[in-house]
Amino acid sequence: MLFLETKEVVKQYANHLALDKVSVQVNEQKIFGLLGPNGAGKTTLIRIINRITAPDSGEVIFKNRPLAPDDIYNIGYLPEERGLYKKMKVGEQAVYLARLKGLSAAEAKTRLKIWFKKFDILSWWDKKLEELSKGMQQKVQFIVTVVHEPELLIFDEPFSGFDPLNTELLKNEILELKEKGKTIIFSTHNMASVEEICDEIALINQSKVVLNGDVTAIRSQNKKHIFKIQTENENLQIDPTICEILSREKGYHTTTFRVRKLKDISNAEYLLFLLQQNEIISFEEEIPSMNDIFIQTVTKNN
Amino acid sequence: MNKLGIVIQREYLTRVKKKSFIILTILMPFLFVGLVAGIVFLSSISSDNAKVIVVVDETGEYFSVLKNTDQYLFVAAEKGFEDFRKNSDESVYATLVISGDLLENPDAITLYSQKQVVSSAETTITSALNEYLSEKKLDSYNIPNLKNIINESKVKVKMKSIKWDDSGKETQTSAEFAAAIGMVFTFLIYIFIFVYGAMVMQGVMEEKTNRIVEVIVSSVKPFDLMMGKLIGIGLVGLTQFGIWLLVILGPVFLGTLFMPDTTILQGLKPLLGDINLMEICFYFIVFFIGGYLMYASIFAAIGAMVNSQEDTQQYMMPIMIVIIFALYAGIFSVQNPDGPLAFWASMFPLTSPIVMMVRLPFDVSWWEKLLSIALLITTVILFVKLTAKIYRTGILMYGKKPTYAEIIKWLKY
Repeated sequence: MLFLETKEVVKQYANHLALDKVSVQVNEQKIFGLLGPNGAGKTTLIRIINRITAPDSGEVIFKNRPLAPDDIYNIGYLPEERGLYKKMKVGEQAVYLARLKGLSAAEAKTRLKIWFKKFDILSWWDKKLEELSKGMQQKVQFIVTVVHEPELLIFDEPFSGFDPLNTELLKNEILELKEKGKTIIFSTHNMASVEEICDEIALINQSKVVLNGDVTAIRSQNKKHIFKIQTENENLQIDPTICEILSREKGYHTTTFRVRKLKDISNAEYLLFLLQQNEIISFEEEIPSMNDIFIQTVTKNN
Repeated sequence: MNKLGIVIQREYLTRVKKKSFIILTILMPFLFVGLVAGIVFLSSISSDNAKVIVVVDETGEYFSVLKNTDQYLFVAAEKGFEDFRKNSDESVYATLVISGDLLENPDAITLYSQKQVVSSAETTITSALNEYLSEKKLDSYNIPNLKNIINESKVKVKMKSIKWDDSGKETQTSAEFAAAIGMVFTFLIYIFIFVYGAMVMQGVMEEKTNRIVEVIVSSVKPFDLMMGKLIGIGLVGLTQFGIWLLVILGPVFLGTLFMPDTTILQGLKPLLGDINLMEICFYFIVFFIGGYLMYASIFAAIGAMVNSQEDTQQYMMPIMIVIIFALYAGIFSVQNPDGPLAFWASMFPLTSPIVMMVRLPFDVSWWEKLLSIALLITTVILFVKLTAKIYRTGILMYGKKPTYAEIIKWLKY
């Protein structure tokens, strides 16, 4: 089911067009990756969804109706540039931000205490923010984003500034939120994390959506029909009409070949051909990484 | 509670709960009194070492006239005048040479010194001699009892200044005291506008530079955030004023209640006359709110435009000049609180909150107050509206400082 949709959103700044008829569809209970190089317009789109800025034309559809002012209570937003009051006590400002998101003071406090405990920072409740390490500040920021239990969460570069341990913690939290039925928009440059957690993506380049859809579908669409084959023999017996050897790498007992499939046949048929003539140990198709697809799409576009 | 209320609450409480605010608020009245007392005290003590003035009195008549004072010690010369010229004796401050009868020849007196002589030395000498010479001259007329006649003829008028109120009732006032009260309130409003205006700017800049503003404006309208800040910080200022009023007027009030005949209070009454302190405090609050909102909204706009403290200077300068002009206009208006400078400066909204404070103790007609306040309110509404436009664009703009052309574009959005 469609949870959020932007329809032909246009945003013109003084000197440049930030978004040019951008339409994206975010399905319910999915993690949606918003990708694109720096300055492509991701942050502008996120700000429009958050109602921080208004689009010049086009509209945002939220749960099958136009986005309304009160919908912001149903959105949690973690901006790329993190920021909290440095001189204010951690607990106090968390309560303040939660109240601005519509929670009562008492409710905010109870829920925040639970989260603080979960993230092991409860003892810092009465400390000033500037006394906390960067990682702890990030945790506070994350908690503040999710504490009002919104249905839609928007994370702009959530992993920047986190150490591997906390990245793992955060990743699990995000997946847990998805399990709980939340919809998540996730903007990042980190393509490895896209493969790991995103269900769908939209790639924005130069103010336009240049690629969108299901991650696995996109990756198989971009397949180049290249296979990695490991054999016991030093040579690969092939039919040159269906197979082209790209490289050969000799190991201790085995040899690894990269080959391209030249004929439009299924992988099973292709493997059958090869098995007839060779002692094959492993056979694997190379699926392009999101990183490759990203670079390829963006450079092709430019 | 609505969003605006939550924002006001935070802006107010975080500042009022700060140790520095509490300490400063309590100490400020004492510091102020201490400062004034310190200046008075320092200027009252003269230096321990009286300056030595050597007197070369060739007539022998005048040396006895020059009496030693705290500051100057007159010593008869033991050497001739020429010996002092080259002598760089540090202990001698100056050399006074009297070479003839001063009645016949008033030029026959000269003060020599290595350093520039301070004017108090000159006046000490001349006034002593003038008095002596006048008496001598009077004696030379040989009219019996002339001195008494002259003394009797010296008339001094003792004028009381009495003000009529509307019903013709008489009240005594002291112009100096009214001026002093006016000045105190003028400085107070000037300092408040500066301090709390700067606080608003810092607050806006803090939120912008540490990017928390992006989190907040995803749940609060920028206008509410800005107004919350303006109102919250303004309330901090009023709280401070209220506490000071309580600290200063509280004892006076208690005094009148329990010991109505204390001499200090009796002394205060005629000074105050019909200067209505309560009324002045009321107008202070009105003009403070107006002046503060007007300037603080400009400061808020500046805070939203810049990315760092250093960038503020360029925009602050013109505003500082206007505020300082207002202060000087206020100071000069004390001399002539009904003059054209005072009148126009107390009508012009950018200067009126400061200048009007000077004029208030000197009875300003009601239509002037009303017009001044009306103009101020109109300006405040205009400024807040313009600032809101700059603010909502500015707080989300990072990177380079906007040009004036860009700011005008923001205003047109």
